[in-house]
Amino acid sequence: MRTICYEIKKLTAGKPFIFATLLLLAYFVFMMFCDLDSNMNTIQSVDKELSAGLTEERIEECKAEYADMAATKIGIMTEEEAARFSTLGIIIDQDSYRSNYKEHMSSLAAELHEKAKGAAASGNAYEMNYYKAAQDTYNTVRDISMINSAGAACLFARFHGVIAIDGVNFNEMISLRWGYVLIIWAVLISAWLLCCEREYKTEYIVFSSYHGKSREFLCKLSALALMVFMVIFVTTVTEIIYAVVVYKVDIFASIQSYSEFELCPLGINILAMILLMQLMMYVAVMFAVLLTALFSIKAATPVRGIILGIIFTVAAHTLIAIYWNISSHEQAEQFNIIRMLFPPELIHQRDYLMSFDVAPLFGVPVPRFAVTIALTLLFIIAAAAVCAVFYGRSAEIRWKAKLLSLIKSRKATEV
Amino acid sequence: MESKTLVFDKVTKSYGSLNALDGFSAELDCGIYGLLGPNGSGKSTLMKCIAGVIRPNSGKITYGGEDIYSLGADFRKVLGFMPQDIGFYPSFTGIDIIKYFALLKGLKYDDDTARKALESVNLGADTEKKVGGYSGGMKRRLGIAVTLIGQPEVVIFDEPTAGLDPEERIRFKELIIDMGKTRTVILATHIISDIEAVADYTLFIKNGRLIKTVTNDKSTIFRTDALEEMYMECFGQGSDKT
Repeated sequence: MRTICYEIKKLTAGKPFIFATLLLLAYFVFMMFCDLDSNMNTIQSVDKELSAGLTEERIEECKAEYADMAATKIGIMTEEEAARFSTLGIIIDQDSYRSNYKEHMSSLAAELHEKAKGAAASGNAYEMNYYKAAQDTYNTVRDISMINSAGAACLFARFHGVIAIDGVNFNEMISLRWGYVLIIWAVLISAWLLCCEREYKTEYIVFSSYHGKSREFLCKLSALALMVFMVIFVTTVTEIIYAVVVYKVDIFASIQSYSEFELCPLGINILAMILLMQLMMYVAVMFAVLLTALFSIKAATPVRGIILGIIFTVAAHTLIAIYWNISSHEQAEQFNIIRMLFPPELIHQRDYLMSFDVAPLFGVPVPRFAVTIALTLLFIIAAAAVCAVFYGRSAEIRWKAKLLSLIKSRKATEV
Repeated sequence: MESKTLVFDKVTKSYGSLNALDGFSAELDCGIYGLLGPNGSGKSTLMKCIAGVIRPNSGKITYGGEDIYSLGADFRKVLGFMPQDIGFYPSFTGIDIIKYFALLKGLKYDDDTARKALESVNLGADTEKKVGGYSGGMKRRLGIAVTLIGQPEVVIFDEPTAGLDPEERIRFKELIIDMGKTRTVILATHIISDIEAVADYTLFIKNGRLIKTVTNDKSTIFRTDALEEMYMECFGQGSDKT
């Protein structure tokens, strides 16, 4: 613990940490006080338009517009997947759906979900088709629901898609998101802490010390984990305060009480949802830290860790952008499987909670959330083990020597 | 204190096409060993190999009969290394540095013990001062204090007296002579008089090879300039012909 304290002292006294943290703080303040207003205005204006400032006639017109859009979407979906839906025994009556779109879609999603569960239980070969159909339907309902509630949507809007450039397909990629800012901050500070011995000319004296390799790395990792936790803790508290004070959100209300989440499979309240989101964010950021640590092995300067750490994060995001722009259903499905393997996806918490997002893993439908968390944790443990062995200019091969001596002694015993 | 033999067996270390160490072999027991050689002769590379910071391409370094890289942390536990280019975390105080490196060496020093370690290198008045404000000489003294934490069995000093004032150099030499009675001390420096004053043995290194070993009998051989003459004989102009 004492060594961890010294590592934190090293970290916080370094200029790169101060610089990166000031940038993070500036972005946080910008996000909270500047961009928040624009998000509020946008969402409130939609809300007003639908519920307060306009006549009943206009509200009905708006609803009809959205229903038309949705119906067009379901029409396209029906044409494209007619064969699959008919195989599943679902017949869509477009006229009926047009008149009461959301309710029909909700019940269809629920029906498909139940069928998928039943099919999975009975070992039906079409189970994945059911899941995919349920997923598509559920997400359509979500899109329609988004316009009906301001409070919880604001919670997400604050952290997602803050600066979007209209008219560009990759606007989500260009968007500067809080999660990515946090990841970049983590990459900067971790790359610097892991290479600061060179900067301070203490590397030889540290690496030639008893605990100067594996344990030193683990202490640095613990210090970074603690710093990331502290930042996420502060943002969580701020978020909860904002939710309660600014948006008047009942944080103990069920998440399903908000229309965006009415089909969310998790039986949790808003507070638990916020905590869950921050936990996912924490895991994603720690993934970036370990990735940077891997790239920083034997690096003379933090540059390699920073550049590769950020590139890999962007690469994951680029894949998502490609996924969004794919028209072919099969390709989209394949990309969905690939992108679920990327831990940085965990910063897209809204997708996990608002989307019915299931992907096949070895033929078994598994929620993406569970798969990504499991993979990320596995990566974190493996990367930490590799870094602990190779940290400090030359590999720590004590374990190898011990293993060899153990094998020798066993052989000797056998003889 | 038990002293084991540090053995170098045909140690070779290359950086690309350059052989920094080229089949270096030697056996070092308890005592003070001065390393002498021109720039680029492989002194620092040899010391970094012992410290485990870099690995030789071939050859073996053993301590007490066991490979030092297989011993890993167990060897580093008995090792004290002060590199040529040494620095410290500027936001740490002198006491912080001693306590931090003691932790790295698997020891827990309280403030009093850390203060005593600093007093041993005449830094008693600057224990609470941040290292960022230390002069070059003070940093080297702090480096000496850090190297000696835990009374290591093998001590390596690379240019330890550079930047020290005459008084501190005398104090340091006394410290080394005292340590050399029970430990293996390796001292690399360009200041020949330092080696003359303290070393029991002088190892002459050229192009990564041990070319000469001299046992320093201070009463007879080590008259003024004797080592300097030997140095010129080994490394001076025309030495390649011999």
